[in-house]
Amino acid sequence: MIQFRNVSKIYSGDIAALRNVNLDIGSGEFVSIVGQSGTGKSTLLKLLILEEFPTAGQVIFHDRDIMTLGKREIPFHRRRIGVVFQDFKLLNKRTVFENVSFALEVAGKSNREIRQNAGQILEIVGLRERSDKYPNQLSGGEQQRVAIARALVHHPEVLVADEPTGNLDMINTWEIMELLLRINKLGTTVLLATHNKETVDRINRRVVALDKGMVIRDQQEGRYMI
Amino acid sequence: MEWLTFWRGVKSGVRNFSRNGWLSVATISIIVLTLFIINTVFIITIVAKETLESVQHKIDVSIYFKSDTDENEAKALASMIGKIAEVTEARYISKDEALQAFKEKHSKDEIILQSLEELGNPLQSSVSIKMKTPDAYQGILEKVRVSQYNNLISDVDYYSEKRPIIERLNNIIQSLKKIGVAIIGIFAVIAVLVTFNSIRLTMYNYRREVEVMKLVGANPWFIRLPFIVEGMLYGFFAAWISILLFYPVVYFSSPYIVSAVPNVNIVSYLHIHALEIIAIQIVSGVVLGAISSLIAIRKYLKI
Repeated sequence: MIQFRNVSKIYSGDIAALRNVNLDIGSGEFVSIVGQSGTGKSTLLKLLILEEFPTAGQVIFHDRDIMTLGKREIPFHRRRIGVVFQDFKLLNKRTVFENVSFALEVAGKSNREIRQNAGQILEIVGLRERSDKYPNQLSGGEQQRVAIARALVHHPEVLVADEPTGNLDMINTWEIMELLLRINKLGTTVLLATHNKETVDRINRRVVALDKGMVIRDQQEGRYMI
Repeated sequence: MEWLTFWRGVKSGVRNFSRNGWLSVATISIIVLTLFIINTVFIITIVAKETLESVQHKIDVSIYFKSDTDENEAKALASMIGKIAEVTEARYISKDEALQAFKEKHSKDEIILQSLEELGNPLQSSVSIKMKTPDAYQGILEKVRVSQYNNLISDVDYYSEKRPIIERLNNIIQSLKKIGVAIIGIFAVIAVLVTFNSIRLTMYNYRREVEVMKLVGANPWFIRLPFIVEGMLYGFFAAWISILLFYPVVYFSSPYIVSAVPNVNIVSYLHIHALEIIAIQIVSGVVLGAISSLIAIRKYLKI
């Protein structure tokens, strides 16, 4: 479903974030991308949502080079890929429900659809009762669950998580990891960038290791090794 | 973009505008000030233009006949000129009438009156012409020159006396218009820059929202629309406030204007053109606001 073909990303000043990366990700997979900070994990994910553009190579999504997407197609592409970040990126002046429904609102969904979908998704992440709270009234783990709910609200085929547990303690980390696994089980492809060794080792899924912008290992049922 | 998305974009623009509070107030105040200056310049230009034009319209041109000209022929020329469309008046003035007018004009000057007694009547009969627009004299005189009456004419005061005055007034009116347009242009640019800066601040305040909207795949116009609406609202309110301030100011200052320039009535001018002026103000306020937003969007909103 997702293919990176000889992808390089070089920032100004000849700083290479990615070098000649080749990667195939199938539908329904759960892939952890591991490596130390600054090895290009985030860059790889940003290329997929067109937040960044490759210097060379192709990023293919469903047999189409996403670089060939027109300006009007980009928003639709982004709705097919949900994203969560380490810092949650929630809107603090909006309630949990409003944060989730915001994603539907900006995509032009009707009020009825918004009420139905947002409620359903909050149920899945276990935050239905906390709908009226504001993000700063929630724990870190709960905030990340709101972010995940928002990412899932368009029923994306892929969920991209960039260090989603980076700000969380062990218990919250596990809650989030279990949620990601459950989402994966429901059919959503999950791409997880992390440097958390314990979680990667424990879930026993495919691991792609990056070092200095290059893929140095790609193992099914892998462990965190660099 | 669908109707629902459009409506939501407009709503969130209105919300940004009202949540901005003091920023909105400050922005509108400065735009009101610039619009006020624009209005003042506009009115000054109109007063000056009307005044100069009224002077121009008082100018008449005289064609003087040779002393042996037959009166009937001279009258025939006067009536020929009188039939031309642009001419408002073409009056034949006989030698005697000219003398009478001259005497009246110099009734207090003994020397002149005495010398007239000795000379008899040295004045020539003439046709005095007034026209709707001063620019048209040249054409009329040309028609006269190629007509059968040309050999009756001894002199036309247009070329020696009147044309330089008309031209000088024309030049003054033209440069006045240019200066007016330039000043209005400068202040319009200031209004755009002020609005632009406020929109930029709003963009900074709402950078998180914009980032999230991008992430969740919002329609690019849905992201831009609130900022455009905000810019338009600045222009809309500023235009109304400046109109509401400007009318009383003109009303109370009009007696002074009338005493300085009696033939221009600013209040009635504003009354007659009220709808037009209000419409122009509102539309240009809203359009300038939208332009400012579009510049800010182009420069700072990377979607």
